[in-house]
Amino acid sequence: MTVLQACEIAGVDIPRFCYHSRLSIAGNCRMCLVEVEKSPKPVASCAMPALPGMKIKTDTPLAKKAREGVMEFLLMNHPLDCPICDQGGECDLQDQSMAFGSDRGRFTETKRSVVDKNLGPLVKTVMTRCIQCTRCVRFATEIAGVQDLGMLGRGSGEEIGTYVERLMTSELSGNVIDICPVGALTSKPFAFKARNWELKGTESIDVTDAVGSNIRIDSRGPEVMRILPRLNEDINEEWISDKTRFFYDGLKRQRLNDPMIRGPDGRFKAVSWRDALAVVAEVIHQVKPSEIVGVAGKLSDAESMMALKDFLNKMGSNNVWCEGNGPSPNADIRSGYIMNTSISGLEKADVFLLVGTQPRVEAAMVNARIRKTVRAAQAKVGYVGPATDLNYDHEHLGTGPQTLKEIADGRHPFSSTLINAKNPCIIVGAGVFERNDKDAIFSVVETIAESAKAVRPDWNGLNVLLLNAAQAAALDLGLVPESGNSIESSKFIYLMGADDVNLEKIPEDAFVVYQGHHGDRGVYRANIILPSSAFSEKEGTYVNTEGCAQTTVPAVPTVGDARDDWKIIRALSEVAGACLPYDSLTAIRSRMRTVAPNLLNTDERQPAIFSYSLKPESRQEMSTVPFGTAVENFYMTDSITRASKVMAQCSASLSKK
Amino acid sequence: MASSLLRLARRSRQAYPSFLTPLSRPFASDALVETKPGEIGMVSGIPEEHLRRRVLIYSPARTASQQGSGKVGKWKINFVSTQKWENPLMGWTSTGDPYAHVGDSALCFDSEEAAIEFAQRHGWDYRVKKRHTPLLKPKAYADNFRWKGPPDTKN
Amino acid sequence: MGSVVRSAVKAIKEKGFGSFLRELRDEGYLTALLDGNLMQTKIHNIGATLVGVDKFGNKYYEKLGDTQYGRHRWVEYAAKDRYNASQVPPEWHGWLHFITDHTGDELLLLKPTRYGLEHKENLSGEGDQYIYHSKGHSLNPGQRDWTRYQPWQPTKA
Repeated sequence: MTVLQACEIAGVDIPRFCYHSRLSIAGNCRMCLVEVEKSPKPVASCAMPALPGMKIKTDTPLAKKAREGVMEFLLMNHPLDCPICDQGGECDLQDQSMAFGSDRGRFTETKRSVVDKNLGPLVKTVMTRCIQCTRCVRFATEIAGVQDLGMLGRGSGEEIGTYVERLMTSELSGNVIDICPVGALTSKPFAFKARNWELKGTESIDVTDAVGSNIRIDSRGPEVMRILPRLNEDINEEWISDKTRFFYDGLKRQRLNDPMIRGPDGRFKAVSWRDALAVVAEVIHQVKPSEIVGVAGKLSDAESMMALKDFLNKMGSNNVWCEGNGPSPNADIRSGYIMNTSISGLEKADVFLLVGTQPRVEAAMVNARIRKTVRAAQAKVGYVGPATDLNYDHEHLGTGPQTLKEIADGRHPFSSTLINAKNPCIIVGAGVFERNDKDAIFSVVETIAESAKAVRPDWNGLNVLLLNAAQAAALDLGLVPESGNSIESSKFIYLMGADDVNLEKIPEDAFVVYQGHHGDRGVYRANIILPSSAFSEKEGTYVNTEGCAQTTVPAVPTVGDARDDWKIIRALSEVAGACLPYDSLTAIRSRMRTVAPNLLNTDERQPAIFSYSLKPESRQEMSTVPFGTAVENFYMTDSITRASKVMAQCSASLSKK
Repeated sequence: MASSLLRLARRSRQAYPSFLTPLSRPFASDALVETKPGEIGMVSGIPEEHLRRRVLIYSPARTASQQGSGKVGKWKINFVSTQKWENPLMGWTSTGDPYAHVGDSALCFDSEEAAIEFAQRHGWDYRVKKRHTPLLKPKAYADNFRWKGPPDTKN
Repeated sequence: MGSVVRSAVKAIKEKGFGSFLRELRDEGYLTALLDGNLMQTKIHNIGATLVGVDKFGNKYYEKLGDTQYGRHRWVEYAAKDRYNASQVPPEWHGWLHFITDHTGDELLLLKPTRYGLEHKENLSGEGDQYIYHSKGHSLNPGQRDWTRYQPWQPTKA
């Protein structure tokens, strides 16, 4: 407990530049100097341990003079860039110089300047503005795990850089933009676009992956200008991955804004909602109920999935599922598809076994947590899957299910590590859902968990890491299809934002309705396009991979003539004659409460009650096919990221190849 | 005066006690207990359609790009007003919603209860979002020099 | 008066009576019969020196000597029927309004080549297509679309 932290608890904020509560203490900015009684010099409060009986004075002339002096020194070599610096208005240096600095400087020599470094298409560097606080160096080393940045040189010639011409390829590289107290590291896509006082922050949830990081969408009028992280100690602390931070320009491109019908010549024609819904209703009545199929996409919220399932059930079909859950998902036992150790609970684990999952690309925040545990408690990590680089030490145990069998039988050296672990944690990737031998793999994993005593009343270490934001809510709501290959024999397919459906499997004469917000892959096969709103334009409930339900808040208006997903389905149901009984958000939420009441307890994680012990024995044979990668390209995973120019630049230059 | 009386009369005709809700539409919005708009709402002169808003009550998180926590701890009401469009003449942002900026600029509460009471008095349908506070983990400068485990024996 | 008659007779002898009359009409003497300002200008032109002509055809005269101060520099516009003060280009404006002694030909050399625009007279009241409209105005021929997103364009697929 340092003096600074003790003062924080007491309610006194001490100014600082290099200290950050989540990074190691550097103590090189000297802005936190306070006067301590009986000490000959002022004391750096960020580093000095708080001893009992200490009298700390933060308001005396000595402390004030120290701060003014430090401020003067920092501003000596700092360029007069405020009008052109992106950090103006949200700059720690500006605010602290106003609050703690003196009114005039005494520097009359020439200022030094530093050459800019190229760190990639995401982070813009103006190294002249750097005050050498080393926060970015500590972040990259400790939290991102890449030792890209370092301090070169000594004295006033110190430069932060990568020494060799390297780009910052880490998936957490965007966080250095928040960390940097001055405008040395800023966001390149956001450069010169807006000032922070013009922006209205809306607190929402990210949907690009299953983590559900809390974000703040800053918008100016009708467009999203940038995305910043929001504090949530349980899920993402204060960080967000690069994909979450920079994909917002995909929200402005390739948007569907009018209902369109594909004419007989194969070209799309914009029509009114009335006509589009009438055509869909007509077709859906001409088809047999068993030939109706609905697929919910990766970015669908729980309300729309509820509406879709209700509507298709009313039409007589039970073939509704969500992308990514595989052909035969097991939605009965909740612990079989969520992260039972919550994301914050991962910090208590001491041995990890990663099965078929690359958390670095699938869920960057979960990876950050695992790295935090590995660093803090020297946790051991065993990884089964294709060779990948994780930013912490891990043992590559094998590539296929045989390794799992060996571990389960105790023949593998890693089994002893698992058995001797106090809190073992097994993470299975959701890519396993797509395999045919999914049940066999899960039963082997459960045997391992049994032998390692991973599932106990006080600790449940058997986790599934999901890939999409919609999967957990889909399984909570029961979007389980009757048969896995119902697409091949279907005549009416309702794609609700589903772009990863294998379009070749759709028969030639099937009527495809695509309801989504981007013209990605699904629209090219669609017969009717119904535009819906993206996550930043609607209030939707998303369940993250640990089972915590969160709602997005609309930040910008819907584009063109688009409507909310569930409202489209409700209107369609009325036109088709099978009217759904809810017509407001409260009503559809009360319907959701009858199916899955945990979806309404937002911001609180709902742990699964029953463990796998309820599952019947599986008699499936395990195949020998090694595990594959579920996420090929970290930067382009769903329709919004595929439409984004920044993500395209990133995947071209920063992909880990 | 007359308009608020008219509103009162209309409202008493619409509201029925909860036990008489029709069972044929169990999930319809008026099956739930009808929130009576509070006293302030009816007398304040606010147009009726704005007394039935859905609002969110939240405590804004600290801006991630700065370390200062001066504005943290206030509670605000977010009138979910995204009805904005670009004015075709000058490209400026137009809105038809009188509450577009009110939540951001004008209303600020010191406590969650004050915000909830305000929303209740106006009769808005509010939802409260949880406030997240940072966990204080005791740190020490000596952690930089602590033994970090046995050296990596692999390579 | 005599010099006027002498120059008129000389012109008739050189070019013929028909072309003399045509010239009179082109010079604006016909309009001057109905326009008092132009008639005054034409009368004042007698005995004046032509200082220069600008690219629109406006003629700039100067009559020093016994002339009343303030009437010693004037312009005779090229458009004899619809003339207005904004037709004077900026290089002649200074000389005409007694601000400077540099004539327009000298000041034309100072016109910036990179960003100097052509002089336009004041077109207010002339009609909607001539006046200024902002970028989003429907009467602006290059009307800009302010939508902040790009809609998906269906390609022939």
